[in-house]
Order: sequence, then C-alpha cells, then structure tokens
Amino acid sequence: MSEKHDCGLMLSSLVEYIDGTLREEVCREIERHLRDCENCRVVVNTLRKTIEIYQVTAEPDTLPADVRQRLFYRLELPNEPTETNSALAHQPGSLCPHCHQARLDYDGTLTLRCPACGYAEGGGCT
Amino acid sequence: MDKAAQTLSLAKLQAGDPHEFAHFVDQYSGSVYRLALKMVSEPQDAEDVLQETFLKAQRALPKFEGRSSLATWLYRIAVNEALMVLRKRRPDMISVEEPDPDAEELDEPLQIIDWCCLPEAELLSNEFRQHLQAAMQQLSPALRAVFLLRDIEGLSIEETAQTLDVSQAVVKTRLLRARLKLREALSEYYKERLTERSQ
Ligand SMILES: [Zn+2]
Ligand SMILES: [Zn+2]
Repeated sequence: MSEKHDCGLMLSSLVEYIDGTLREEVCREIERHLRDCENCRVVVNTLRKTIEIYQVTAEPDTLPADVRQRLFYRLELPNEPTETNSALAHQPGSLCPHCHQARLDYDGTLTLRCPACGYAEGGGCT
Repeated sequence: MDKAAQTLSLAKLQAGDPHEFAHFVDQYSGSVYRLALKMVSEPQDAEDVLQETFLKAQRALPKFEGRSSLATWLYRIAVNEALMVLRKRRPDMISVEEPDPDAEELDEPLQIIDWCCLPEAELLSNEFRQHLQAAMQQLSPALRAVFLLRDIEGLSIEETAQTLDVSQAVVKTRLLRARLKLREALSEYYKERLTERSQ
C-alpha cells in the first residue's frame, strides 16, 4: 500500500523537511502526504515542538561568574571583568546560574540559594 | 555563540597574546560550558571539561591550521573532553560509539498524541525541566552531541559533521534519531499529564 511507503519517505526526509532544505519535488510530495496522513502530521508537529522546547528552555550561554573566575585562574589569564558580567542580576525564581537544575530562592538570611547545589548569592545590603 | 562576535586576530592568538586569548575565552566559554553541562550533566564535570578544553586550545593554537573555523575546532576539543569524562565513568565501555548509533534500525514513532498546544507555564516548571534533562541523558553520547551542536548551539549540518569528524549523512541520521527519541520521551510525559488531568 502506497500510504505506508509514503510514511517511510516522510520519516527518511524529516531532517531536511524540518530544516527546509528538501528538494522542491520531494517537499511537495511530502506535503501532499501530510494533508492525508494524520499520524505523520502529529509526528511533524510534535517533532518541531520538541526542538523548539529544547531551544527555548536552553540556558543562556553566559558563564557563571565563579566558573569564569576559576577558568581564568587555571589558564593564568588576567581576570579582567567583561561587559557581560551581570551574574548578580538574579532574582528568586531565576534558574540557578551554577547547576541550571533548580530555581534560586531566599534562604531566610536574604541570600539567594539554590536548593539543588547550594550555590549562594547576595546577602547583605544592595 | 551568536554574541556580538568580536573579531579575533588569529595571528595574535597564535603568538600567545594573553589579552587576545582572554577575549577568545570570553567569546566561546559560555557555549562550551553549556555544551559540556548537557553532555556530562554534573556541574563539576562540566567545569573540568571547560577548563581542559581551553587549556588544550591554548597549547594547540600555534598549530591550528585553519582547515575549519576556530569555533568548530574548539567544539571538537570540547566534545572529545566530554566523551573522555563519560568514558571514565564507564570504563567497561570500549567505545562511545557503542552501541553503534548508526547501525540500529530507525525507531518508528510510537506515540501519536498531538500536544502542540500546551500552556507555556508548563514549560517553566522544574518538574518539566528535569524531565527534559532526563530525556536528553537517555540519548547515547553520539546522538546527544549531534543534537546539542545542531539544535542547541546552532551549528549547520556541515559544521556539526566537521566537529565530530563524521559525514553529513551520518549527522543527519543521528539528528533524526535523537530528535525522534526526544519527541517520544516528551510525548510520554504529556500523555501522563493528560491522563492525570482527565481523572
Ligand atoms: Zn504518513
Ligand atoms: Zn544550583
């Protein structure tokens, strides 16, 4: 049955289809199949959504200040501050900049602390 | 890696100019750390990977021949360092390629539930993030590396292939496998949520 065959074609061209790099002719064939095949439609939608979810929930690619400090020390580089040194701008609920596994919260002494790794920030006056 | 990319002088870098190297580190360390964190998941291990990567880069820069971009070259060092950490954790593993990520049959999609329109708040819960992380760790290192380089760090298929020293066809196959496996894991999660809600 040709439908099964088309589902296979769909699957094998999925990377190019989602990246939009498929040959025009194959692309049209796939879109025709998608109109008729609910299963493939769901797979394509949820696959796109999966990639998007991982992208939007990815941590920012800024280095936590303490990690940067130890890196520069190890590399024997002068530890000049960068323009992007905004590591102290976190608030309760910010993703822990150290382990990225949990959210920061006040621990009772006005210190933002990570429940997962114990990373602490702030305290004292601002 | 798409931060206001300063233009780095390769000549200065290769001559060992510490100021230029500091710029190089600041430009790339954020994405190298993120990649390492997702590859090895333990923050301490990720920091080791980060430091080893730049130490190796520092030593190897004079020999850099420019056959790939600096970024690809650096990612390659980082991925190898991460794989080394994973190998140390599992000394019984002969190769990280095991089980051969390209030999097995492609898994057909099993979960066919359309969860495209769930509330955004769901995405921000710690529970969900942990699930995302766990699904990622279920991938073999070879599949994980491809997904992270292509879909998170935004490298092209060609750059990913260069970084991992495999063909573009292999990158595409692994990328499809990785994406499908993650999709399967998220579908599983949403199925459970939907069942809970309807009870
Ligand atoms: Zn189909
Ligand atoms: Zn933490």
